[in-house]
Amino acid sequence: MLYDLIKPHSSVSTVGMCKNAGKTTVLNRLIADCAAAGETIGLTSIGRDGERSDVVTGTKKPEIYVFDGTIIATAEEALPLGDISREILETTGMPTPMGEVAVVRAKSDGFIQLAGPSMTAQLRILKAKMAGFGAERVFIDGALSRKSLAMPAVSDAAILSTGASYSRDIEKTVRDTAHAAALMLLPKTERADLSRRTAAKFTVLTDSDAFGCETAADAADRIRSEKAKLLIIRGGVTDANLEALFSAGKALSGLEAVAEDGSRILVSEKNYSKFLRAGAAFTVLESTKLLAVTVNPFSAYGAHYDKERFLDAVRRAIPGEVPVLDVMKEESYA
Amino acid sequence: MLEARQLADIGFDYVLAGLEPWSPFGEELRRRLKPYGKAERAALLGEFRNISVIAEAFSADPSSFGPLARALMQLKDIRRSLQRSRETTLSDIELFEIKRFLILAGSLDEAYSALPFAGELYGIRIFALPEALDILDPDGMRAQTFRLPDGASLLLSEIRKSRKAVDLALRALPQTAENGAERDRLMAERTNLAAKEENEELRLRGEMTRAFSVYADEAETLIESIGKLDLAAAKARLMLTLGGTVPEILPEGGEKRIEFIDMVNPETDAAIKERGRRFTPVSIALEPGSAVITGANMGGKSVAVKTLALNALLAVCGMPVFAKSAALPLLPDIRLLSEDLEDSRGGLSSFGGEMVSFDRILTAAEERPGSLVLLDEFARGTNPHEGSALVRGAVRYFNEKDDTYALITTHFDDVACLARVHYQVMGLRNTDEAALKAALSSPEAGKAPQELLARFMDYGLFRAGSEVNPPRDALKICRALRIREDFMNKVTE
Repeated sequence: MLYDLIKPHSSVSTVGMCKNAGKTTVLNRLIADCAAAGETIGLTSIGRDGERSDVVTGTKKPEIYVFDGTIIATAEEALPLGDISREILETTGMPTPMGEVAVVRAKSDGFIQLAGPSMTAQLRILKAKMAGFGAERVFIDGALSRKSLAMPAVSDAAILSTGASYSRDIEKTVRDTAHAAALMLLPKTERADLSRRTAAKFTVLTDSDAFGCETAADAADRIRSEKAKLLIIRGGVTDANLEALFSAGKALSGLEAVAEDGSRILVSEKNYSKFLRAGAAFTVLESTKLLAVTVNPFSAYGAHYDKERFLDAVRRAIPGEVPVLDVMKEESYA
Repeated sequence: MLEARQLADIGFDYVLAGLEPWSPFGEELRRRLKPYGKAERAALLGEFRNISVIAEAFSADPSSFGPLARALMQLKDIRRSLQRSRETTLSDIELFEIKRFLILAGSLDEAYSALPFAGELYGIRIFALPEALDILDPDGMRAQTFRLPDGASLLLSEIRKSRKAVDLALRALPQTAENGAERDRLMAERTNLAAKEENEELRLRGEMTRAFSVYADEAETLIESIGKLDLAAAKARLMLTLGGTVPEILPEGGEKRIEFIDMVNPETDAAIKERGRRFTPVSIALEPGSAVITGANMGGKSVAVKTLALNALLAVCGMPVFAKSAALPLLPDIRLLSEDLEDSRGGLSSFGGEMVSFDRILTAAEERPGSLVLLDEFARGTNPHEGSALVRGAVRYFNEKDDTYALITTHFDDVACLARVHYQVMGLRNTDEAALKAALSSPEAGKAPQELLARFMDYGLFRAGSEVNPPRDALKICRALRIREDFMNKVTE
């Protein structure tokens, strides 16, 4: 099932709402499926500051199981934490807290530890390097943070994993997962000419004019005075930005707010909903494809959810075209 | 020597930033660039010869440097691993990087040998280390990757064979509940073999490291040469780009003079080019004792002094200078005192700070015979009567020191007559007064009078007689700058 979903995409990110959401299980499933299909794959991760102490002290057991021939880009000091037999292909000069990123080829099956670079530009270079060494498809193990949700700059498609470890409150987990999915599903703006026209943090566009604004409050004034229906926001969109925009009041109705991509929208679910209720909508310059949402009803902290109820609730909260899968049913190899 | 902030101010940092070595070794030498000492005269002369020879070849055929550039750009700094090879067992990443370096050393040797100056450069020896490479590449495949070959030991090849078999068995095992125990057994065996492989690889890497470490010294020597070659080539390219030359370093105990013909300051030149003007080249010849520059305000006295400081420093650092020609001794020290750099340090007024710095310069000059001392607008922060006395004192003081080259700029009268050499800036001397007046009354002059004035100003220096006093241009300049009319009337009342 998962393999069919990823098949058309040359690069796929796995993203988790929290630890133990089942992200690694998903990745292992995909690795095994690709191996069964005879594909050579490449693997790396978006830096992993959040897990750094675990990884550095080695208390975290490596969990990703790869097959002979896999191309892996990971930090020098993460190599001895795995147990594959390997061939060193390249050292990249990209720094991480665990040393420089090296590209290696697995010469046996076995476990690896991924610790890739944190900059998207570097990930893009790594993808190309891995392809150069024969990787037909690249998987990027995303970090456990909202910041890396669906980075279109890095991968064409993404799989979002959520689970009971996120919160004891099932409603909260479902709501926040749906919000994350909604951001990843934002449509690409139809105004294809936009990206060239925006240098300012906020640009308010009317049919005839473009107004660059440095603050959200200035943008709100412009939207009101010009009755503008289009706003472009460069970089991150914060709660403070939205709260300032709310001062435009009724003028927000019908407004299209264009963010660079879904990962830049860092607003709370509450403010996001309020923005939509005001009649405004977000679009993005670059979109990613959310292939599936996986759910894990087991909590690492003991407060498990009811399997059927959780699966059902997430299915109802996520738009119908995105499959929602029980991660445990998609059993992994390792 | 000049202080760090002075290096930025005179445009030295700008020139250094224009140096673009291709390898990390050249880059490190660029960052650590420093003046050559008295004992390093031969090395300095050698460096200048290297730069000339490389520049000649480069201007004749830049594309012939392509293979050299490509090899240099791929180099990584492996010196830490070289050091570690003497002490411990290197990791596979380190062995990989050393192997890559040794392969590149081969390409570098080939690229270098093809250049017309190969073997002629002073202090530079580029060579391959095939025996060392053979140690890291026992099967001789010269692949750009690193892995201990199966054949490195019988044990290793056996472990890897067993490991392969277990991997295949695991893959073939259907994932059913009843296979759980077998699967656990195979996984345990896999882990066990992985550990054995790791141990055997560690042992083999230990042997490999020890065998290689014999060549660590040679590799370090090679790296030193690579850095020198890379930096000298970067200097040669910079010299060709910015239009510089290699200075003549006068022999010790021979002629005593500092002479720069048509000097330019590249940073100032770039800045004024943006405003559509050109840097007026400056020529200065000094002998031991005092020389004085007088001339109009805004006439470029300070620029002349900084340009000399820059080029003299470049010369003693083994850099090309930006002049038509240059000759100077190996200066043991260069000192610059300029009031705009003396921001009241340690609670002293700017005048107090200047004098304290001046005192230090006197001591330094005495300690290092043959130094160049540059005083820009010395003592301008005090009353003209005593200021003039201080400057005259400085001129006489350095005249008596036959082993210091002093250059002093001043506004004060009756100073030049004491100096051995007197330069004056052209300033507005040759300006057609009528044309200047007409230009100044044009509407565009109101917007940027400084720019307009700059166009009329001649920044060149000429050698003036010792009896000539500084020109009286201050009021003319005030009018050109459109200082308020009612005020100017009061001045001339």
